Amino acid sequence: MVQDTGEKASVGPLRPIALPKGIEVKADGNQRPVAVQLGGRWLQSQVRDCWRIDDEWWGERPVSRMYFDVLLANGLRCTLFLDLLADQWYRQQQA
Amino acid sequence: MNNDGSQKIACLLVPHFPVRLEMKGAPELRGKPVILTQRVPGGQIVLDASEEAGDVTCGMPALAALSRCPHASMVTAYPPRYQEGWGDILDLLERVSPGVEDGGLGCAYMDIEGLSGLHGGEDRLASAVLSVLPGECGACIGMASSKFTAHMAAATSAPGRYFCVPEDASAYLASFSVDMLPLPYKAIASFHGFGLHKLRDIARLPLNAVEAQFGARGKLAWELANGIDLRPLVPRKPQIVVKERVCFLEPTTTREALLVAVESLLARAFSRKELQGRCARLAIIEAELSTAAPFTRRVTFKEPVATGEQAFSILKNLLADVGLPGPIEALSLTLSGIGGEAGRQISLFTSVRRRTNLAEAIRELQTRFAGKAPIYRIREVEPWSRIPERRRVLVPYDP
Repeated sequence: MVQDTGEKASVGPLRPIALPKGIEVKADGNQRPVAVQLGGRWLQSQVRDCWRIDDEWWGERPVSRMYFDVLLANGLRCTLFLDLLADQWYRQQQA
Repeated sequence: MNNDGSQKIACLLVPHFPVRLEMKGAPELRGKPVILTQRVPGGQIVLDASEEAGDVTCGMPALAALSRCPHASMVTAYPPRYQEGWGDILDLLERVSPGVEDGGLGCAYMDIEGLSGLHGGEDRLASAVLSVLPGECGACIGMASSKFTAHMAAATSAPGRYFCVPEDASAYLASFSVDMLPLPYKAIASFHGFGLHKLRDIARLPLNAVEAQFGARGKLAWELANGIDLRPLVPRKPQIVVKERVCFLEPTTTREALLVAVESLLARAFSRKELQGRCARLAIIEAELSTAAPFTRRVTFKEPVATGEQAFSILKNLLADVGLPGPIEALSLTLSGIGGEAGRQISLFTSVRRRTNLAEAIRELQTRFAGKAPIYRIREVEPWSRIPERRRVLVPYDP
């Protein structure tokens, strides 16, 4: 029998990547982003694509998000999502 | 050693060499019980003790030593100074015999095969050995056909005299205490625990019984007690050592001053002719402090260094987080492990070289950050996940 080392179990030194970051967004009546605050400035946004994911609804922390692929006024393209459960906007970082 | 395996060995003993060296610098300790202690994992142990300290022996825990001799002066040992002093003694002995083995502080073995005839007898040979040594060193000489027997002969010889062991070594060794065996303190204590106080007590037991109870150390003790010592004399190899020293005008406590001094010492050391066209593998930095025992830092270079700049870039990182225990009065640098530059096999393929360089850089970062280099590798864990942040993770890169 393998002896218990007495050490604490841990998830190890893995670090998550591409964690979403909270962001300020102005949305229209249909909950579509019209302006995004980046670097202290508000930039107009144009929605290029949108999709919705609903996952892990069986678990303690279900995920329900409405994603938008937007083009900003300064030419930057980014992915935003609205957390439908928390009603918070996030910017999805790319790995 | 002769073709028939016989040899003639002289053992030179300088009893209590570390204590003698300490007393040379502190004459007020002469004639008083002195115990030198050094820190080892698990506590303080005795490195050496003066004769006035009674039955305090080397390797004994410091508290046990203090209980046996409560009025002794406890002095913190500084082994690098003793090693340097003993190295000078060995250099002097090599004037008499080309084969000198370092048997530890205060003990040296010399190959004297054929030297008796060269000097005109054992008396003159012993006189030649004693004449090269500094005065008041109190050296004792023993001559025999094996190292252990020669050691025992030296232990029973008077200072400044010699003793030559007769042919029957086992009979000569029988009455010696087991304390004389070259074994750790605990092993000898276990012999006493079994009522084996003299070498004859061990010699008359069957070998297999001794080995079964005490292991390899028991086997060695049995062989030595029976006058069997097949250990060859291994002469020490000449080593080039470069040493430089600098004294501060005022004792300093700043790390910047320490680094400037180290850089200066390295520049001086690498400009010496002993290091021209050569590399060093080991650096020892010794700081003499005004309020504490000397501070020593030993650095082994992963690859031999050929220039002062190269050595300083490595030492600077290692000294960056060193804590100075007190104001530094003087700093010395010793470079050893000197030899020709080692070859380095580089891969023909660029990608392999890049990986090797990356691995080397990461190892240096790990040394710098105590194993926590901020270098990570991206690994996919759930590439099929619809949640983007679940698809990949960062794993510390370990070359």
